[in-house]
Formats: sequence, structure tokens, C-alpha cells
Amino acid sequence: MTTNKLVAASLFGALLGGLGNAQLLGSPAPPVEDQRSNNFEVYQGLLIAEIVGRPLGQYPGFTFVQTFYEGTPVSASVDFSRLGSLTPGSYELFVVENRTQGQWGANNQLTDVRGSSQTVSFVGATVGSNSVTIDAGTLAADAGLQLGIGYDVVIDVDGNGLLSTGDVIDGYSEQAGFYIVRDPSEDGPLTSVESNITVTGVKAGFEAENIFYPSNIASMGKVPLIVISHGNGHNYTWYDHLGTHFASWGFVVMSHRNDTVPGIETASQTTLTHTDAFLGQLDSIEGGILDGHIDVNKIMWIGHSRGGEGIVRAYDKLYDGTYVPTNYELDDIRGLSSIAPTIFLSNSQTDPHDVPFHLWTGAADADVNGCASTSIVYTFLTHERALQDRYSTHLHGVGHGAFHNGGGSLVASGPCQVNRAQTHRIMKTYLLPLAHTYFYGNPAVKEFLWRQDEEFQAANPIAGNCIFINKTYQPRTVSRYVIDDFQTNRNKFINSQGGAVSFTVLTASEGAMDDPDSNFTYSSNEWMNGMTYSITGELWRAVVFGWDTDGQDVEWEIVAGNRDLRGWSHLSFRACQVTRDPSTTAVLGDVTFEVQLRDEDGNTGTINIGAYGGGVEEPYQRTSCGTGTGWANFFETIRIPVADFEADGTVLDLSRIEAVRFVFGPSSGSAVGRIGIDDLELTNG
Amino acid sequence: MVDSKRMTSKRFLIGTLAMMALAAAAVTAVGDRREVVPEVVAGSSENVHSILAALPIGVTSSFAHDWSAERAQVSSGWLLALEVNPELLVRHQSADPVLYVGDLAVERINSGDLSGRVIVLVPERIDLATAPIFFGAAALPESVDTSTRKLELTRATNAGAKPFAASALEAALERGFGGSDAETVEFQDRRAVLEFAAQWIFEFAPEESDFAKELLLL
Repeated sequence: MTTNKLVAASLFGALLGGLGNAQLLGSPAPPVEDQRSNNFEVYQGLLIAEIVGRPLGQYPGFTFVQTFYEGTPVSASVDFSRLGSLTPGSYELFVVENRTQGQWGANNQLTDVRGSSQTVSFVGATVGSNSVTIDAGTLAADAGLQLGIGYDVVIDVDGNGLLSTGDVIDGYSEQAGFYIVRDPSEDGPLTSVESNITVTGVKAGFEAENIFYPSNIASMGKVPLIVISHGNGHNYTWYDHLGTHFASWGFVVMSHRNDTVPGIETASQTTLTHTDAFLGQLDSIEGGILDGHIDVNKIMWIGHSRGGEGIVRAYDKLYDGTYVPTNYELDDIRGLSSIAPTIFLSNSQTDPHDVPFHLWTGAADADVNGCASTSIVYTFLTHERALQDRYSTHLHGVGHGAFHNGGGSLVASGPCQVNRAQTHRIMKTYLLPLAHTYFYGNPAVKEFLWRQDEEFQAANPIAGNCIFINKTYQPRTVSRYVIDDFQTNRNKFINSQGGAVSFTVLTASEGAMDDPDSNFTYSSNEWMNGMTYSITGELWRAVVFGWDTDGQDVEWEIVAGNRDLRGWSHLSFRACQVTRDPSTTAVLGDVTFEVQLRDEDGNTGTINIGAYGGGVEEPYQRTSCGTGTGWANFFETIRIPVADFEADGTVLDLSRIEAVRFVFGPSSGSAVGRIGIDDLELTNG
Repeated sequence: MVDSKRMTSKRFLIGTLAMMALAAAAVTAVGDRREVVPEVVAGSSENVHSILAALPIGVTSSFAHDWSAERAQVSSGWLLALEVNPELLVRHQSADPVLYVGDLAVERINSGDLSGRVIVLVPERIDLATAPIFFGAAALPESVDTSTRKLELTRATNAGAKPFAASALEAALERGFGGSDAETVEFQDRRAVLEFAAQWIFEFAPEESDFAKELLLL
């Protein structure tokens, strides 16, 4: 575990210009990654803190976030219990363009982008009561081809119009205090060109490609390449909704005819060879207009259905060396996104290894339907095989055919179905930030991948009461401390770190996330009913349990030596409701409960997961696959800022936390329920 | 009457492309797919209605037959045009019924799911007079190995699957080759085979003419 310490660096230099400049003595530079779990750090005489966020309707009253859709309000607040030297009073608050530390050093003038500073009154006893709107939705978001304009926020404590000693700033690093981001589902600023071409050097009969590129590509530098591999019975021309969109944002897209009918090996081969052929024939494709404009080091593969499994198999072939490309390398593949993939092959073949991996699933999928009847449709399994950064987006009401643009049937079964237009807008909303994450590590878009849709929506949200978007978010190339992933110490009373786990909840069971029979019919002794994340020989595990009265709980011990939580940004876990269980069907809707940290003195800090705008989603209310109503269990990630546990002066010593406890029952949230829990961890991702 | 002993390898030069006029076939919605994979009863030769055309082929530059686990090289075989139950040709993501000629899993060149007319590549010069044509159990063709194929043939035969009658084969050769005294048509490579197959798609499955044009790299 790493603690949140300022990395040592050389003397930085004094601030220049203007009257009353404070001389900030050099000291270590703050890390680029935002690890300010304690909400503030004193650095170079400044109070660096998170100020910007959104108010909540319940404790902790306010949460600090970084990303806002264009046209949506931005709030700021302070929690005096966590901000050390700042005292209640009126201050001038400035919203300024983001500057790096060096830029602040060159110019510490406070120039408010809104035209003038704002007088704010921070006098409340709680962070919630101090919440003020600092922008109603007017801040600029147009960053050209980039996503997100960064802003810093300064509380000018000494009122001198400069960033100087004693001021509070949200920002002061490569990463801005907050970002305003254009709705990623909107097309970008460029005009896209679409063309149908053929390439040589691929299997005869499969030479065709449908490509998209910016019309002004000749004047651009090198841009990333996105390759799309369709599914069985699908067509390479059915992804123009993505091709046009990505091209308008400055990418080149190549969708190829995919050899899916024989199976996954042939599908993977077409992904590999088409990527090679396209890159190798740029001097002749479209008259050579793309030649010199593809960044071969930035390739993303998107695959649908058998193509979704095919791209993973393709990556595995690169990894194992069974396919050696001519025009690109393994490391050039920056990430995968599999749309409703099949799982024909074993984990030694359909293996994402350590490539960043993203999964789409549609709960109304009538083809790769996710029923427990066959592991071929255990769509979540590939996600479980991914060893590094992994994400997923699970959509209620979305059928297999909704993801493409080929018309015809949505290939959907179930209530409240989502149409193609809605599905495509959802895809664009997440795929563009995903591409930016894979290619650029853009901090402005990270929150698109995990914030719950209930509270993070565009100013013009997708219309429709059937839209339910659920996400998992597990960055693994960041520092993290796994409390329990249920893979080691396979005893439900011992967590992954060897600490004790105790239960007063009902019928707690730890085991492989594999439905024991071939359907979702409820049975009291089928504890993993509805789970399709694991199969024989691939034992991905979790714990499931229920509750029916107040105070029932699960508690994980934090082992000694790891109890200082101040260096962690979030407590994270993934949770799902267990389908068709009477405790799940008793009340349809999100399940909520309390998460509590307890320090070694017995003090506690408690937060209801519903405080942030959503709970654990109800299973999609689809029938078949046995009797009853409710489709496969699906996880979503719950992330709670560690610092929020001590909001408003809560007496809690984050440096000596001995346990994490989940508390259930009507006083803590939902009166009854049955859920699965996995991947409980502390993270800086 | 197909007599394999009389077949000789003779280079047959493909002349001008004889593209048949496109029939005004009824076409269902693009992208329309049935959602349930039909269960195939063993010996479902009843799902294979007729053999429309047959052409014995040779390939100078052999290529791998990806529709079998062994991925054997194809240097000779058949092109066949079949009329089958279109429901069994609908492509799903999960496994679909595999089409066999004797103990060979064949490559389906076009979809055929709209009309039931499918052009297939048989990877060996099997005796059509003794080989039943049938749908077997759902599987990924690339995973179908020798033992599976033999098992499927046994099941089909036990269930009563029979080869097409001699008269039907003669008629198919007549239509495919231009005579029942068929000689092997030699193609340079797989691409050349596909270009010829495109003609049959125009003729037998004109609703897939766009795909046929693609095979011709048009």
C-alpha cells in the first residue's frame, strides 16, 4: 500500500508578477494522480483541497467530483472539520482556467472565467450547508478534439486577487480541479468521410472494409485507429454510427468483414490480418490520404458478439506469439471493448491477459442471452479473465441487435426494451471516454466509466424510462489494497489479507459465481442462483447473503499494519442483487445499505450507499430461463470517497481503521434483500 | 450419372462472367433474424430439399478449409447449390446446425437464410452418389473434427438420411457444369473459386447480389 505523500522534487521557484506575491518555497511536487483522500494537503503554503462537487440529500451532504457535463450546474463547498486553517466567513471564490504548478508559478493572478469572482459565505457547520452553486451550466466545454476543459477553483483567503499563501485551491497540478465536458454522445467538430474499400493479404472473400476518417486528415498529425469486428450474421457496414462518431472526434475507424461463421479462431484471424493489412496498405488506401496519419501505437479493438470474443482471442494470439504482425505490435493494442461476446473458448484462448478490457452486455439480449443454460452465453466471463484494468457497462432492455446499425430485429426479449437510437447514444457516451482513457489517460473522462447514471447525466439526457445503465470499474494499474476478493483464503470467515470476517446476515455463502443448474429458478439451497461469472475450472468467487431485519451485518477486519486509510481515495466494491430470491423480489428497486468504518477506538463513520444517487440495481425483470422473474445477476461498482467518512467533524481516525462493516435493515436502507459482494478494496484509481 | 473414374483434370477457362438477370425476389428486412436456434433432429436430411447445381473443382493453389478442426488443405472438391430449410441457415452467435456432405463439414459461402438457397464448398471430391447431405447438431464448424463428423454421418444414416438420387445428381451436374459427364473445373486459387461462386449467388440467391458483388471485388 502506498500512502499519500508528496513526492520529493527540487526547489520550484517563486511566484512572479503582481503585487503581494507570496514567495512559495520549493518542496516536493504533488503527484499527478489525485490522491488527496484527506481532502486537503498543505503544499507550498497553499491549502490544496477538493472544493468542487455536488450536494447530496443525506450524509455526507456533499461529495467532491471532477467531471461535469456541459450545461449542468457546478457546486462548491468546504468542510471546516477537514480544512484545517480555513475559518468560517465570507470569501471571494474564483473559477479560473486550469494551470499547472509551473504556470501558476509564472502567473498567480486570479482571473475569473465567469467575468468576476463570487462572494461566498462559508459559515455552516456542515459541508452540505456550505454548498454553493458556482456555475449554473455556463462554463465552456469546447476543447476541440479533446474532451474536457479544466478549471481550478481558488478561495482567495487573503483577498489579494492572487494565489498566495493561505489560499485554498482545488487544482494546482497537471490535473485540473474540475472539468466541464461536452456530451460525448454528440458528434465532434470534424466532418467524417466514409468509404468502402478492399485490402489484400487477408482471406479471400473477406477483403472488404468500411472506413471512416476526418475529412481534414491530411492536415492532421497522427491519430489513433479503432478497428471494429462484427458478429455472426452481422455486417461490417453496420457500425457507421460508431465510425462517423469517432471520425468526427479525430479518430480513424476501420470495420472489416469478419470470418465468424466457422468460429472464433477464424474471427480472430480476420481481426489480426485486417489490422495488419490496413496499416500496411495506407499508401494506397484512398489514394494514400491516410498515410503518415495513423498512430500505430494507439489501436483499439471493438468486437460484437462472436467478434467480441474474436478480438480477445486475437489479443491472446499476439500475446502468445502465435500471430506475429508485420505492421504493429502487441503493445500497440491499447484496449478492447467487447459487445455481448460469446464464450466458446477456454481461458487459455479467449484471454485478455493484461490489456485494458471493457465489456458491454444487454440484459434483453435474445442471442447471447446470459441464461445459465450454457456457458457459451456467460458474457461476463471474459471480463473476469481480464487481469488488469477492466470495466463493464450493463444495459437493461437492450437486445443483441440494438448495438449495431443494421436495422431489423433488436433481437431482444423482455420488458421495457431500449431502441437502437437510445442504445447508440449510450454507446457513444461511454465509448468515446473509453477511447480517451485507453489512448490518452484523460483524467477529464474517468468518471464517465464509473459514476452511477442516476446522478451523472447530460443536460439533455437520453429520454426514456427504460434506460438503466450499470457499470463496474476496476482499474488495476493503480495502487490498491484488496481487503477481500474471495479468491484467496477460501473460507468465508477469513478475508484475502488473513483478517477475520464475521456475519450476522442470513445464509452467507462464499463460492464460485456459477449458477448451480441451468436456469434462474429460485431454490433456497442455490446460493449462487443467477450468477454467470464463473464456470468449472475458472473459479471466480464472491460472497452472497441476505437480510431481513435491522442491524444484520458483515464485517471485514483490516489487518494491523494496513489500517492507515488516509492515503486511499476510495473504498470500492462491486455488488449485485440475487435474482428471483424472495428477498430480492419482495421490493423491486435499488437496494441500499450502510457502509461503516470503525477505528481502533471504536469510533465509526457511516455512509449509506444511496447517498450518492443510486443503490444496487434490481435485476432486469425478464422471464424465462426457468420460472420466475429476473434475469442474470450483474455487478455494479460502488465507490465511496474515504474522506467522506469523516465529513462534518465525524470523530473517526482514518489512520487507525480496524474494520469495514456493511449494515443492513430498514434503519440502514432496504428492509430486506439478498446480494452478492466482490472485490472489496481500497484504491487510488 | 456421376462417374468419378471418368473425371479428368482439365483446365477450364472461365470466360466472360455470365451474370443472370436478377429475379425480383421477395426480401425480408435487412438484419432480420430469428432468435431461437432450431434444434436439428438427427438425420434431418428432410431439411435439405434439393440439389440445384454441382460442379467438380480443382484448386491449383490449395487453401485451408477453416470449417473443420483439422483445417485440411483444399485442392479439389465440389461446388454445390442447395435448397434447404432457411431457418437452419440463420446465423446466430451461439452454435448453429452444421451442414454436412457425407462426413465432411462444408463451407457455406453465402448466407442463404432468406431464400434457403446456399452455395457450399465441399473440401474433398467425395462421391455424391453415396454421401447424404444433411444438417447435424449445432457446433462451431472450426471445432468439428474427424470423429465428430463420422458420428454425425452415422447418426444421419441411422435416421434414414440418403444421398440424392442419381437423376437429381445428373440434373445438378447438367446445370452446374453443363453436362452430366462432368470434368473437373480447375481454379487458380480460393479467390477464383469465390468469383465463380458469385455467379451462382446471382443465379440462385439473387437477393444476396450485394454480397456476390463483394466477392467479385466490385
